[in-house]
Amino acid sequence: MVSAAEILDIDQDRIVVWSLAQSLCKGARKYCEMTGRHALGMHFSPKLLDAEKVSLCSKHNLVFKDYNLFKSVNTGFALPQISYCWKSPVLSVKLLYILTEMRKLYFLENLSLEHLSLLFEVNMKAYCVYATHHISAKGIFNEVHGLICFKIADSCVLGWLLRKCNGVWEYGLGEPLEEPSVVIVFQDIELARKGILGKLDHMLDPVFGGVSIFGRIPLADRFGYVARMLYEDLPSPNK
Amino acid sequence: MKTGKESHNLFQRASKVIPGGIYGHTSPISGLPDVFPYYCRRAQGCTFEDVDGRVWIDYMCGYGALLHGYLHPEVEAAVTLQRESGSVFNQPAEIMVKLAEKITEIIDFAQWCVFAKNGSDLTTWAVRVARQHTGRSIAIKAAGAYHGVDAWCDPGLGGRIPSDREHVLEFQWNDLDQLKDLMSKLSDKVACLILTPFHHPSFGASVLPQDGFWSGVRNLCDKYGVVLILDDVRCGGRLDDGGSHRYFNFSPDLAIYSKALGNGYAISSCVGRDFLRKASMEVFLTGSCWNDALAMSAAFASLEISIRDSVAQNVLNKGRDFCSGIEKIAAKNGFSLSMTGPSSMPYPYFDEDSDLFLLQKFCRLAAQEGLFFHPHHNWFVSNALDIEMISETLKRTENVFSLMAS
Repeated sequence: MVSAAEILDIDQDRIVVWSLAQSLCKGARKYCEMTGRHALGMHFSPKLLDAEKVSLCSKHNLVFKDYNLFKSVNTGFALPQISYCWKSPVLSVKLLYILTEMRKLYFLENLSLEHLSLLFEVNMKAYCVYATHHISAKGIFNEVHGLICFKIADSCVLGWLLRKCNGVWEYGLGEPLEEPSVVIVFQDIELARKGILGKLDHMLDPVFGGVSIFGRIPLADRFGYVARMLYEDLPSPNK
Repeated sequence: MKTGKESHNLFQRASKVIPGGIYGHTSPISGLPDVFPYYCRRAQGCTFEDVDGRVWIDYMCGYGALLHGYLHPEVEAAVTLQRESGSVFNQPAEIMVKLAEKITEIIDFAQWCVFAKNGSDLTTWAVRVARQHTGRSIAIKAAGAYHGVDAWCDPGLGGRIPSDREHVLEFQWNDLDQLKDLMSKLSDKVACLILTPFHHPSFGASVLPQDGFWSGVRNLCDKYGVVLILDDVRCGGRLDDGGSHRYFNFSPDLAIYSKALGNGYAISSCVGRDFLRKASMEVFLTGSCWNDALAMSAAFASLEISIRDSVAQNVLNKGRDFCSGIEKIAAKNGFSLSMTGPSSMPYPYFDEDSDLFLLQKFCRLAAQEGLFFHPHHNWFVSNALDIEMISETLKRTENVFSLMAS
């Protein structure tokens, strides 16, 4: 979810890095929970710093230049700002390790539903921050709002995404709390992974049967368009 | 029944050489990609056959581009006759003059007319004519109304820059107070108001003008010196043979027709009052095949049929039978369904189904019965429909509602 504090004005030039930092921290905390390292996960907390630097740790033990954070997602490694690591080098290394481990999920064969949920959460977090704050994204939705429910093979509800009347986006896992305006059904987990990672073709895959869309099409259209904007801007993990 | 194999095969091939396979309003994703055909083999009257050999009773009429039915013999004969002489030349053919004379005779306020190929060609041109005449920049339109594919009005999301819509303002359909407010505040800046005869947004119920709406609009335009443009592209010929303004009893300054005008041949026309003739000559207008004599011959024949056979009234009457029949079947099965908009081009709307889940289900089941009912766009009643075909449609619709109720 996007908290009230996050609704504050954000420099438009840094919305993408802010979306990325938020989603990485959200995902890392969740990954730590899943792997029994809850305490370590609590350290992940994003903050934009001056001079195009971004911190992923509440104690600023893991700070990247913006472009290095992008690079780390793209390639799997980029040097953090060493001077910040000296405060607690062991913690810095542990946090880096978590990010590296989490990144491997993007390439896992036979992804489990639990891991898919993590990817969903990571990407929906990025979407919520981006769609709430990015000036062009906001303009695209105007008065259009509602809840989008994501399912796998018509039975399993993966999660939901909600645009509230005030323009703020929220997401959640599992059954939505209100009636959806749009239901997006992925045929299987692999197609869901592709969809979540922006790898599906919005004009072809619904025809080839990989994904089905029901309900309020203008909301689905806008959601898809902004998702494609986001995936153009965000770095994607490369093997 | 799912979309056929041949449709899929063609789409596969298309996807390699055409971005998205099929674009625009006929893209499968604009409808129901799991049950609608993607490609058509042939059509006749009020039915069409898809590339998998399945025959459908049609309620879309080429998204409005056909009024008299597919392959209407008189229209095709006129086209065939003209084809013997050719279609596009260095100079316009005589048919251009004959067609202009015919249109200005049929449309009561029209003192001149021009031709193009698509509605968009001339909605955009009409706005520019209004700007030329008034020396003002702003165009006002109704929110959610469709006026074409150009950047000032298209419903898409890509390829725009902020200045595209800098001079376009919107008001809510039927809200005369809001319109008055806009015009009074910007009285020396508003060039034109462009509206469809009634509000027919995609993905939503159609809304008819309230009593006094059109007279109020006309009065406001007169008061503030604003050119009133009627976008009659979709409705033209379906409400009144002399233009939809007659159905709603008002008179615009410019009107654009297309879709039904050529009964399947690409042509559009903008007509106007004499005071806009001079401005119209200052706004450049041309296109590669815009003098196409085949389409003009088709339009001439189509208009003659419309006048001779009172086609607008016919499709309204046929639509009335069709719409009331569907509403009754729905009610009998416990569904509250309204066929919104005029009966010749209705849009179905289930109560409390603003997200259209129920309508999509209805149209999906109708597809199994060979009925081409679209869940996201208003339907069109073809004049080729006869009583038997409407009865057959209603019989199949009974099956659909039985399935929905079960």
